[in-house]
Amino acid sequence: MRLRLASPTVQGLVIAGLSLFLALAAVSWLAIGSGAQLLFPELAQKALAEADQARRRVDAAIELGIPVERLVGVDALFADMHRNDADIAFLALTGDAPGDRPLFLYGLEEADFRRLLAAPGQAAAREGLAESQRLRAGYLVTALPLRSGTLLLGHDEQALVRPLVDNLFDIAVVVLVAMLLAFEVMLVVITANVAQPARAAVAVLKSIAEGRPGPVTGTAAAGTLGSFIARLDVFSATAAGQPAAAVRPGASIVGVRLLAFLFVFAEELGRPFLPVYVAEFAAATPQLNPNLATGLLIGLHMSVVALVMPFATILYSRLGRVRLYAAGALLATAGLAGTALAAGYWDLLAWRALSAVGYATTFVACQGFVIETTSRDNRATGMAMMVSGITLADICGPAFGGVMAERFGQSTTFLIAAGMAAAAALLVARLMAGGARRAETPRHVTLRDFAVALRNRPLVIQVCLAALPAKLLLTGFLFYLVPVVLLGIGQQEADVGRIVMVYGLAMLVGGPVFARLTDRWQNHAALVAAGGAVSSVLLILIPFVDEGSAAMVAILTVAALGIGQAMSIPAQVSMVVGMASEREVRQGQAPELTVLRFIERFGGGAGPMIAAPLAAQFGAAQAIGLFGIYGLASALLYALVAVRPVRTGAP
Amino acid sequence: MRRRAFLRAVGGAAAVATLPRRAVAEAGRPFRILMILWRGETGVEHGFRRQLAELGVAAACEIHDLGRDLRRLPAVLEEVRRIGPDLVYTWGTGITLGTVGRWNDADPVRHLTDLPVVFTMVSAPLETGLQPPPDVPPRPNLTGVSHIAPLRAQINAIRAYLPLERLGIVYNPQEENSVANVRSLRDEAAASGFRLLEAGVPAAADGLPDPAAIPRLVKDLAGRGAQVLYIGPDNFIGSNRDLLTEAGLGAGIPCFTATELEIREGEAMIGLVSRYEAVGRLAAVKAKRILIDRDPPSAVPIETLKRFSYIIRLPVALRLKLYPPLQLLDYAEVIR
Repeated sequence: MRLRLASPTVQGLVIAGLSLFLALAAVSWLAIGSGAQLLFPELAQKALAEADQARRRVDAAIELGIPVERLVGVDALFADMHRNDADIAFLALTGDAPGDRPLFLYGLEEADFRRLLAAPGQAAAREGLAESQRLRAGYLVTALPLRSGTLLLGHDEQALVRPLVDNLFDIAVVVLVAMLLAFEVMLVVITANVAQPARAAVAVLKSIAEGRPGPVTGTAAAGTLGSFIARLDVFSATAAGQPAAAVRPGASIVGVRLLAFLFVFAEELGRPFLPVYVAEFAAATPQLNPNLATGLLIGLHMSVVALVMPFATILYSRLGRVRLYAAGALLATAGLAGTALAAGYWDLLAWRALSAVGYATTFVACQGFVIETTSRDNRATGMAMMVSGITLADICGPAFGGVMAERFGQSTTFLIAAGMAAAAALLVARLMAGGARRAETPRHVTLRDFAVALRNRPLVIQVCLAALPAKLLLTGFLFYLVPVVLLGIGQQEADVGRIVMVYGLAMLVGGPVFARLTDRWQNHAALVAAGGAVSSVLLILIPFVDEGSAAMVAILTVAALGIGQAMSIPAQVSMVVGMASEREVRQGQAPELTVLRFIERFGGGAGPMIAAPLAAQFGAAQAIGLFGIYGLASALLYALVAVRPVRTGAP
Repeated sequence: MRRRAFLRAVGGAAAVATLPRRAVAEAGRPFRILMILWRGETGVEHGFRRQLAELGVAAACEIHDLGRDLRRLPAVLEEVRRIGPDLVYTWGTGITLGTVGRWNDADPVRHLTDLPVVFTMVSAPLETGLQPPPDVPPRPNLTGVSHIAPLRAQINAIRAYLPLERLGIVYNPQEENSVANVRSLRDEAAASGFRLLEAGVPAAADGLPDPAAIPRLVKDLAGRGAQVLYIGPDNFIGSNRDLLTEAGLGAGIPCFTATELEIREGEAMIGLVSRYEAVGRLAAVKAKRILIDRDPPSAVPIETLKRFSYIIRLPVALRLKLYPPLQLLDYAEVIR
């Protein structure tokens, strides 16, 4: 389905989207404004409390008879306070006579301190500062009298706005997710109720105009438009001299987008903190190696998905897509709720496996839905529809989940995820309704497929040196090591979620660009090799990065991973497609593709299982480095083996 | 004697009054605990009795006070053998050594080798030979409580207050526990990176250590650059502590002590000590295990307390102008 800017649907969507965005942005802006007014006094109060605590300690010493200028351990006091609150910039004790040198001064040069005292203080009672507090030269200075002398504590003024900026990010993420969700729902509603009926009406009218009237609708619609079409149908049928056929409801492929979005979104919510969530259970279970147990549990999910898919495919023909999807969504609901409420490692393991079964089942149901309701001509569009739903969920899920976890806790986030899955189960009957156009169902992977695929040497190279490393990097590095490292150095779940989101964004932005490049530039192997190198080379630097810049470097590395994989994945697929027979590809039955997907999923499962013991042995940052070396080595080897000079005479 | 009889009567009455709830010896009478003390009852015995009562152990304690004279011990031990109490309680290294002997040198004629003995206020049970080394099975009839913090903790306590490079010690070379302590300090000095300046008190004409020598020895240590004077578990120094601390104050050197009395009643500036009461309470827990739980003393470990009190004597600090760091004031007890 190619969207044209001029089409009324697109215009409607743009207008609706814009107004939604404006409304959300306005609400967020108001929230930030009032947040600033609410937060600032609180931060000033915290500064006051810290200063007062220091004052009490110093006063206690003075009260014992220790002269203020002979106090011992003021430096350690400052170090202590700074450790607890990194926004504390300086601490000074001054004598009673104004203009004297400060008795003690830490965190600031004396000249700067004098300048600061000379600077005009903005008495800002309306901003919620206490009597003893002033904003001076970029610092919030709290000055408290001691039994003898004065204590001055300085906070970075910037620090007072920092929580607001953090909130801004959170709000932006929530707005983004709300927008995308609303967009998905609108797309379904408008397509099903307006665009499709309108198109059907046009078709009927056109057929009448062309002088060969007949009942050609295939769309049930409600309301005025619906009755109009129904009458049109009867009229057309009468004109053709045929009895009016009952309106056959037809399925709308658009629904798959929302359904795919929902089940992936539910699963992705836990992404930014799953490793630490699991690790707590693993650590609480004696006779388990916590690192191995954590990696195993996270990898298990993807392995179970790979294993269950063939069985789900068999079930598809028995249950049908609606029941299969609903069953899968309910399993996922149970699995996610169980994950939230698990009592120990072993039942957590069972719940995660259950939610993986649900994930695989819903995935197969969506895939089958697309195959059933599309013809060969528009199957790629249908698949793209499903993939775009998944991509959106990949982007929004981790970020939104991170925000939820930080605000409401990790367990609650899994409960929210369970709610999403349950919602998907409720929606499916509506969204997947309609008769099948074709009696085709998705096929499952067979041993014959493996036999065919493994005899194909280029395919084996493709799988071992390109597809597998890509998946290992994705799940081992992005899904396991990134959360472990970042949460380990004190980042919040929401930060981690945003960083994981960068991967999806890079894929989203890079995907179309590189897909076009892939089509134009015929040397696919070179793109695959280059993509592998781009996605892994920055990982090698991670062990040498200090904690302060870790978040920034992580963003760059994750973005590079996304861009690298956006480069290589379309090229990989088109190379594998090139290896298979055209007829089988068109029917979605190429064993090469099926095997590629199957092995990719197992690679995905293996990622965390490899990453966890490496992290336990060498440290998480070093493990990332090793993953980088592996990825780069694979890419180089692939370049040596697979890349040929560009064929001349390419179109 | 009258006092002992009185105590016995009180102990007995208390036991009878609460008899139904209390554990008693098989014959239906309270347990008989015989206490051999160095200088009368202290906070240790107070804690011991209170803890026993709280544990529900009915016991009658008989006091045998040596009045700082070890020569009276053999007579007391004879009395002990005659009475055959359920448990013997000893106070300090000297009395305990005299009562049970060294682990590899116990004499059934002179020492108690079968009656269970619980000691308190022994500074270094291992170093003085009361306790066998770790690779030898524990003694069948002995357990107890040491009141001294581990040396490393003591040194760290000094260093929490001021930098330490040279530590001076005046000690009685004739005292077993004190000599053992100096030996341990030498090892600790090497391990913790400070110099130990030693000054043994010489004997006077009567063969006993001469208190008059103390001021001179302190002055000498000051001349060698001692920053802190260490008061160890040394009964002679304990008896003459004011001589030592006064001399230290005169030379501008503060004293550190590992025993409570020196800082509560003396003029030491820093103390890392066990409270006497807490020592007695831990000893009572051990006594209960032997009396009620019927554990053999060898199965009850010899221990020191897990927590110690940091005490600062403020007038001394102010007088020496050695002010305690702010961080110490958060947890130290300050005596004004």
